[in-house]
Amino acid sequence: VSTPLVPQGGAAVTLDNCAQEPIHLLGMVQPHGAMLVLDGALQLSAWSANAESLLSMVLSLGLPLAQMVLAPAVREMVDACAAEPDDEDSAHTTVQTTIGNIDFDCITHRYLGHVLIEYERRIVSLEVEGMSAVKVHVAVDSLRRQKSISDLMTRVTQQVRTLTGFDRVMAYRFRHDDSGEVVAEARVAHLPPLLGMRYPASDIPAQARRLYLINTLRLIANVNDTPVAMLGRQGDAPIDMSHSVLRSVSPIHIEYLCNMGVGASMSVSIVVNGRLWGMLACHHMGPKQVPYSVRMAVDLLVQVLAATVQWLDTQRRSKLIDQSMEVRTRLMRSMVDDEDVLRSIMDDAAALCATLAAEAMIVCQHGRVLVHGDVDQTVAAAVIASLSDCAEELVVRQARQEWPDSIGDQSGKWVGMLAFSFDPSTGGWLVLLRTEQIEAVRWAGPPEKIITTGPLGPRLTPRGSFDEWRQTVIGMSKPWDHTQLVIARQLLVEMHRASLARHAETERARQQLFAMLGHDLRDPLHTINMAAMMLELGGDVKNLGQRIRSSSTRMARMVGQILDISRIEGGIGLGMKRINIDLRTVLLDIVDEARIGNPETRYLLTSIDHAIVDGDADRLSQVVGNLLSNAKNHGDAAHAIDIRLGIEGGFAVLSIRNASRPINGELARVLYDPFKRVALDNARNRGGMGLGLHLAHKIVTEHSGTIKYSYEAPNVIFAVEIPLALTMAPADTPTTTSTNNGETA
Amino acid sequence: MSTDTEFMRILLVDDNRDSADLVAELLRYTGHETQTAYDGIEAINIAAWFSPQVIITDLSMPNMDGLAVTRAMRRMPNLCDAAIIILTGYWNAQSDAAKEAGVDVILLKPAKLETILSGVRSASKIRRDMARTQDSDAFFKR
Repeated sequence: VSTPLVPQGGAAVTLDNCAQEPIHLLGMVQPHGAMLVLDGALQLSAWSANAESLLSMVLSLGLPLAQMVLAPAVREMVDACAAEPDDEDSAHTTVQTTIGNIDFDCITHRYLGHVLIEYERRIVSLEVEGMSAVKVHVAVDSLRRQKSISDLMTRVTQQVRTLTGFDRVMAYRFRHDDSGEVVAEARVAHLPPLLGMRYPASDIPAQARRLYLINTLRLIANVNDTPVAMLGRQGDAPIDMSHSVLRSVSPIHIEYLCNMGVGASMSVSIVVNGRLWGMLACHHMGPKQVPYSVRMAVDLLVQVLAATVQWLDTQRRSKLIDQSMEVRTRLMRSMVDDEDVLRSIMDDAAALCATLAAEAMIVCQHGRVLVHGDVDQTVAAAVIASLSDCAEELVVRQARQEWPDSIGDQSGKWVGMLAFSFDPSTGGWLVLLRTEQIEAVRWAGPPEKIITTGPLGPRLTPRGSFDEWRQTVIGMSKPWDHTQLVIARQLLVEMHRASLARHAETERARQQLFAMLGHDLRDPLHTINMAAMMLELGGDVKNLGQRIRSSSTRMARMVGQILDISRIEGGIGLGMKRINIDLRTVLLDIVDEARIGNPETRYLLTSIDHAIVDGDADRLSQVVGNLLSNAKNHGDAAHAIDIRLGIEGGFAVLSIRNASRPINGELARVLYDPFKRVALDNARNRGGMGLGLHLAHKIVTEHSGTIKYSYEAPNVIFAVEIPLALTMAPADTPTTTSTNNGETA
Repeated sequence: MSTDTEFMRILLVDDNRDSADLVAELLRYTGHETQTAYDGIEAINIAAWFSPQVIITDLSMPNMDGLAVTRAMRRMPNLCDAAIIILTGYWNAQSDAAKEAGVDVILLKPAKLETILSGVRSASKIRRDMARTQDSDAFFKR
């Protein structure tokens, strides 16, 4: 006596426990076919309740295979299958057969000691199937030629739709957290689009995921069909239908399909590197039975797709790694060579963001913060502050809760962070940022037509699923993936190396500078010493006082520069106090001073306008003083030093020109470096150690200005541009202009 | 001051004019005859007619440094026996290169007048000794 084989003692399946539902042991098959199951002794141990009528057979428990009435081809196949070792692969073999006037695909496989024989009704002519073989060939060929995963997915949905005639074919791609996104879709025009929809991982429970991996294609021919029970010996466990083609599906899944108005569905797994990478979901609004051979063609097509995805992905990774190497090499070179490390990193900001799929970047050193992308300074400062307690060299955050509480909502929309401590001794951080995922998702608009809510609630609809997904990813950014972290670590190692090289070079130069300082201070000290001796001896030497003063001024200047340098190196900065000042006043004062100090030098004030800038008068005097003294020391004494101050496009433009040979290329390249060997070795520069221009450059830069060297024969020209103060509004301008007219020298 | 010193013709070379002038003045004060030059070319021109017995030169100067000045002077017939002193702030001045160029003594700035004077004496002594050795070499070769 046979009885239905059903799971024992199971509670009713609900949304909450559906992840425990044994969907491979449901004990039911779809009614468009029938199933026979033989045990290890090749005797009938179970069959679907419709088998006797559909297959015109008389069946009973324990019926030996030898006594079953089978077509010769089917018998041959079953014998061969029974002789196969029972392994995990459970490969299907198939033959076509006719019973009465019904055509069947007969599919056999062996699994867990049983031989499963499935008869599936075939309702398509052989001609049509022949056609699809040609179509598959064309489709495979075209898939191989796609250059991007996105093109590939779009193409495959179109092809599968052409091959099978489903109303809608969607390609899902599973993300790092197993949530899914519809990345491509082919559909009849009247169906609402589902492209861009996202689903939480829980939409495909773990046991379903396992089935999708081991049995890559599943058809539900008609959601309204009543499944057929399996009959067998009382007390036997339900048949494991993991590899079956007729397996009926969970009522939860049926409700989901019904809520969407779907009549038939087919899903094909895209398995890449043993992982469920994506899936094709095909929906038909009415019933639809796709012949086995067409399904196999689609399965083949999807395997080609998976291989192509894998190949494209490998290519993408290696391209990314190549690209990152390029960025890294460029970055290292500029980090070692360029004067301004932060600026040199910023020059590569776009490339760094592209390589690591970040949306914004912050760099910080010595408390100076620069940003790339849509980050305001306050947010940037808060992000940097949030790193103060981090001992790690690479700090990875991808959820809001991973940020310290102290940051509150100051980090704004930024949730994902990859921070490199590239130079801990100077507080050097490079920070890449990602927004919250919700921000980044484009939502194609609610699919209003499919909001039918079933008895189990709204979640089993695309819209409900999307909301569910949104709940699960709230406060999370897209995570930094393995390849990106590998790239990040390589980058960090190289940045450390560059920082060390830079420190070593600075240290070497600093040693040299201090040695040089020792030497250079000796010279004026010697003069003062000699003068003192002269005084002791009561000798009468011309200008003794002035000689002492000029030597001590020289010493004071050197000491001052060294202090400035140590302020900059120590990260304190030059400590500027900026107010609105007229650059003209600063300039005239310093020229007066220079005229007194160097009566033999001619200073020519060619045209001097008023220019109100937001500046530090002492520091700007230092800049002008340095440029004038360079002009005097290096210029041709026979010619006057030409000084101009004007206004151009919102900037005060100060230029100092003197007749001289052009500055040689090597020196011109490193003109503003603090410790330039070329300058240190130059005896003509003995008064200044080469620090003056470095400091002038720093001062001008901190005024958001620029300093530029150019040569227009026979003149060396240094031009300083500083933005005019904002308060130099039109109302102020007339006053300035009127004074200007009268006083231009 | 050292009365036992013979008074000599001393040429001071330094691009730091104050330094050159003041040392020259102090040496003149102690009885020596001095001239000053503010660069290497000027030094060679003055040396040609002044025939200094002692040359005190700075090391680091534009165009022609102290070693180049020394080498040039050693090639001048009237100066091959002159005592040459480098007076520099560079305490690690290349002493091997200096010796090779023909420098007799290196003095470090800031230097006291006594130091400069004793430098002048020892440099002159070195030159006298060398001249004597060369003479006896010449005697034996005869």
